[in-house]
Amino acid sequence: MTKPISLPFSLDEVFILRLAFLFSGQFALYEGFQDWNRGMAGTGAHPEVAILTLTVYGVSILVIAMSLMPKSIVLRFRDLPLLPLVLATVTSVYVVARIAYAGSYRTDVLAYSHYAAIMFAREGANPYTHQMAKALDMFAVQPTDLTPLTSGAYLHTFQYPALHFLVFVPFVWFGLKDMRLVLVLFEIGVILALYVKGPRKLRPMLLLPLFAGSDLMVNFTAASVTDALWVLPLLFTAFYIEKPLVSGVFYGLACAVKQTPWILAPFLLIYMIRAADDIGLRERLLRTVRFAGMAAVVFLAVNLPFVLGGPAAWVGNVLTPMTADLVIQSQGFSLLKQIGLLHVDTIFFTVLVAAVLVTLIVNYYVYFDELRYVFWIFPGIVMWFSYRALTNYIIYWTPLMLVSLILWYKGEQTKEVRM
Amino acid sequence: MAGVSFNYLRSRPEYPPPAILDPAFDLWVSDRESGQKRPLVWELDSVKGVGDQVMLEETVLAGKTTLEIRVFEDGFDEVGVYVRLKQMIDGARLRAFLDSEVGVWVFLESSSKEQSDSPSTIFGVQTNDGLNMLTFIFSEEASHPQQAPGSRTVFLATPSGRWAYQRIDVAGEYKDAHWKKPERLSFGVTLGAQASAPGWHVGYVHRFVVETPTSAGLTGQEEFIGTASLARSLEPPRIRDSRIGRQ
Repeated sequence: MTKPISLPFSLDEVFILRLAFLFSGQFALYEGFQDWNRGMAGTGAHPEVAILTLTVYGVSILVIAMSLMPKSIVLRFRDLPLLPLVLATVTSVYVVARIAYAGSYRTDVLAYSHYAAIMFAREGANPYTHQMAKALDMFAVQPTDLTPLTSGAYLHTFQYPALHFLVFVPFVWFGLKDMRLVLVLFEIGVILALYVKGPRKLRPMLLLPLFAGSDLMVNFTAASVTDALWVLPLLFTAFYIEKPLVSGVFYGLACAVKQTPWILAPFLLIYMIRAADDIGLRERLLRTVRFAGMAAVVFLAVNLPFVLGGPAAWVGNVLTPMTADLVIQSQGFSLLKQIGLLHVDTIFFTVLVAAVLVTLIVNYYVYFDELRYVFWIFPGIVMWFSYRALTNYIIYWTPLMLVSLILWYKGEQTKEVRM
Repeated sequence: MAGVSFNYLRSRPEYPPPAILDPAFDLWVSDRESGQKRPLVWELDSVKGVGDQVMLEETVLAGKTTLEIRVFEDGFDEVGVYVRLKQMIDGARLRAFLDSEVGVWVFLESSSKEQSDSPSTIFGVQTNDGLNMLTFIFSEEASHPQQAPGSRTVFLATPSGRWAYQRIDVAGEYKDAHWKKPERLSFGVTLGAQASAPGWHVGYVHRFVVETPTSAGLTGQEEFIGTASLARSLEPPRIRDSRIGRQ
């Protein structure tokens, strides 16, 4: 009887790698075909699209073929699945943005943020005290891509914390014309951060949820959705969650980009208090205060100059998404109202959101051990019940769930070592 | 308690989608073909002869920001000049539109006394559902509505030289015309002059106002304008969703 040979890798590891090769190749192949449709079929020749499409196809076929090469080759090129994923993302965002959308922004958000960055970079202007309507003309935003109020008027003020436009200022100085490139850079940052921080044996598999469909990494960014800007700092909030000061810096940055991460605050505070159960209560409270204090300092450091420049304007604008009478538009629970099946007032959804939030907070505190790693999706759940529940309010929590998965994995490993 | 709350919330008024988008003409863009400014949300539609001109501007008149529509008829050919700013309304927006009280703030120039005496110029609000066209014309003189197959013209007595608020009762006029309720509607402001009316013609629109039937908000505005729609004979406008020569 032959004795089993001890290998430096497991068969499962190689199997997972082969699967990742196949998936990434297949995803890029799909995107390559979409790019060909967008850039080559019927709209005239775009030589750069032809070259990019050929490159994507070439890389895809190579990676698919390599999936069943001898295991030594698969292991040697274990990071190769990253290439088709990143290449397909960059190519598709370029083709959709430049060819399908002819360079125009498809959200007023990015148009206003880019315009605010220009105003600030060139004139030092405070965007919270200016109208942004000129941006719609400047970036050819279509009427269908605006944010209407129930009065029929449209929002044309800058409605986000200051880092949402400050992040573009250096790129304005460099003369960049399309800020979707910045969004793509942040996306690549998210991919690399997850990849590098992930367990080595499982790295390629870790990225697959990001590419289960093209919306998260391709379509939303090409359509000028800016959420990648807060996802990256929030990723590091999670990775450094056991270092309250560092984690607080990144959380402050994420909150200084957009209001969405604000919903995490109660859960992060509960985590700080409940997670380190091997230390005393005083020490746990201290680390919670450190985290919250640092986050507040960073948030204020970014925003305070603009708050002081126009306190009422800053508060009014930043609270607009919560207080303005926006038209209902939803892939969430309020869809029932949108189509007329549910006859309730807008305040019903405010009450519902508050109820869901409180329920989750209480449950997270009480059942902390069971829910410890789940809370990164809680803001998505809360927002799904809101009056205006768009897919991007939910889908951008997926990278955070992956961080949590990594943290769970490392936690379990530590437990095993201890045992 | 949840049931009581739900019933309470159910009893609160609905917030329908906006019937008219950008009712105050707030958003402007440069037209890529002409280089001139035009409202972003409203679709521009015009018909004109070779030497005719259409100009749109965002301006301030008598203390109100306004859309200024100006047309020039050169009188050299047989083609008149007509401009229309319109938007399509359907679905829930159309239901809200027909169920609400719709009004508009307009300004007839004092010089339009001569224009309104002439049957060859129009300044008004127009709807077109593909089968029927309804036109409300702002006129200094009273006249009865005119109806022909597929078209109805209502004359709204409007004082000149100052801002006036006019109600646009589309649902009521559809009922009076015995027309079937529309499934979708092109709605907009129109200004035009026939070839027999050379020179500049201008109309000003401050904003549309849409209010739910339960609101009492229109009462004060109605006082401002005087009375109901009265009639005067005038040729029905000839624009029928044509897309000739955008400027």
